[in-house]
Amino acid sequence: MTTGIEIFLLTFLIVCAVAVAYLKDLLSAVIVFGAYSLIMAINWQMLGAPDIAITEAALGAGVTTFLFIATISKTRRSE
Amino acid sequence: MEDLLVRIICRLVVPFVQLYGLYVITHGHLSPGGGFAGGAIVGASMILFALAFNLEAGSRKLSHDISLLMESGGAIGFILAGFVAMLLGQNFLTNKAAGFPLGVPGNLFSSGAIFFFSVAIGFKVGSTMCTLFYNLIEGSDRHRSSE
Amino acid sequence: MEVNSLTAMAILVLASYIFFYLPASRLRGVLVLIMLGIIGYALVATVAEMPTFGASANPPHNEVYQRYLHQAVEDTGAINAIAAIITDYRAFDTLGEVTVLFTAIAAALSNLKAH
Repeated sequence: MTTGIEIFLLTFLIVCAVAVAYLKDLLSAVIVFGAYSLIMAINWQMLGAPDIAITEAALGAGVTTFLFIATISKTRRSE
Repeated sequence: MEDLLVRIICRLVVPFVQLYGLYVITHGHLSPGGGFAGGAIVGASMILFALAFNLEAGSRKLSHDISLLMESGGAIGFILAGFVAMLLGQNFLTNKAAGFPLGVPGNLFSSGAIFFFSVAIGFKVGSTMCTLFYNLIEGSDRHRSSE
Repeated sequence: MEVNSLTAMAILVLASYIFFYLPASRLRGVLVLIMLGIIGYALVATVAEMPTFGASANPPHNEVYQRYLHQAVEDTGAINAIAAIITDYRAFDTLGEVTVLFTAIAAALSNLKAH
């Protein structure tokens, strides 16, 4: 039921989620968070929910990253 | 950000992204997607344009006033389309019972009010993303110059 | 696994709360480690008790989903059942989402424009 690529994607998802919490450079954290959203979108697609996949890819990987970058440009970059 | 490569690639990519976003909005009742996803794609394309060029170029394509107008207009249009059903003697936001023509399932102009709802939500979400990003960037510029 | 999950979790949370006020020592570290192990075991046991993913006997597979899948095209004319649900059957929820977006951007703009 759980194939190799699913295990790989879920492992990558957990690694990304932990890395976001541990990174000290906020810009790197935002980029890793975008990667997390992209992997999550692929996971939604593999679970058979293309609606959520499109929304996650556009909102999570696109707009959220832009908004976080804009916020970082307004505040400090390092934690 | 004065990068020739980024600007040329952005100029090439943005029209296709916007076309795809409009496709996702208008075909929300036929294929995966809908107002929220398509609006987010259109808004992200405008943000990409404003990032690759600068804020003035982005504002020239979609000014603040039009963006704010679209944002309020999307929400008001959604509510007005719901009130149409009330005028016809049905509940708020009714579709079939209020007499919207359903058309042939599978055609673009089918499913009555769902098409209008999708377009209204798409306008709303896309202009929301744009307005938020413009205001964040603009605020940071003013903030930096005042320091 | 016949564990009353709610009672077990309540006891665990209470015990962790007591540990939090112990003086920092090697004993507290060991106790916290044991507690984390028990909590992790409880979580995994709860997940293992859940119904199989996608099985036909799961609670969501009731007459509501059958009604939506079978009657959506006839009721709304949309062949995408998800669009039929979120913009016709549950359009009032979508109005709430639009209101949330509107409120969020109104709050953000009023904060940003104030400076």
